[in-house]
Amino acid sequence: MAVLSEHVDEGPHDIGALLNNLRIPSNFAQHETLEDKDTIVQLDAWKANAFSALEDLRRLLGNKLDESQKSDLIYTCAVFQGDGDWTSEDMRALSSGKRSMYATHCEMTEVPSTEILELEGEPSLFLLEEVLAKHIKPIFQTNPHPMLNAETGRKLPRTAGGYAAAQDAYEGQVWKEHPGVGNVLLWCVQRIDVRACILASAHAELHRCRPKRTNACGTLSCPR
Amino acid sequence: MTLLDDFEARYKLLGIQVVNAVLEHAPLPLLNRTGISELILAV
Repeated sequence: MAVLSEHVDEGPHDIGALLNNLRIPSNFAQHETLEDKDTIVQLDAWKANAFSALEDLRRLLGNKLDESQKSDLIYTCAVFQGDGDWTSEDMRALSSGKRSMYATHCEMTEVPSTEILELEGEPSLFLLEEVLAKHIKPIFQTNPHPMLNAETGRKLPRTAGGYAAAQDAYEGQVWKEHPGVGNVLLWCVQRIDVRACILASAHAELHRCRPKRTNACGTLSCPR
Repeated sequence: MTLLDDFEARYKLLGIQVVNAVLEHAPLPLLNRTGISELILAV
């Protein structure tokens, strides 16, 4: 488990290291039923220091990020949106960018809406695809839904592996070892621009259907 | 769909939120073509 206590005294100055430290420990998935006191203390310590780590991250984000870093940033910070034992009102506000009161950390000081997830503005469809393909899909692909083709995302004509497979899907659910992955998925879907999605879909269909070696307009050489 | 069909209520609830967002933000022809709309209606 990444413990952030050392980060308070001598915080990492590298965005990648901070993002790694902010990954939610998998034990949070069983937080409600945990009985081991040491683990509970470790998780509480992680959460107590994660807010400072988000603040450090916010301070470091003045530099321009490439697409890969942006997708890592979204995956790391969107887990703090929504519900979960690993997040709090303050962490939600700092990671989202919504104008809010930091009740416990900033003595009720209003902060401007320029926080982490909103620093780059609305994410493009390309960036959302990058987050889903790079971070979300590999997690769910280990336990694909028995009625879906994991490669194409299309519905299967019948349950893969037969009737019992529906029960097998409840075993070895690796995605539950990634607390907050559902929050990231929801955050991404809520930001899909349906018009951009229709255009991208039509473009992909056009490329799929047209004969090879011709352009979208159907000619071999398209005047520009 | 994995979230929506899970046996734990907290994941099922999150799945409902995701499906709501999908219905609002994904093109309907895409949902029909991939059969996802059929799966959602079967839940």
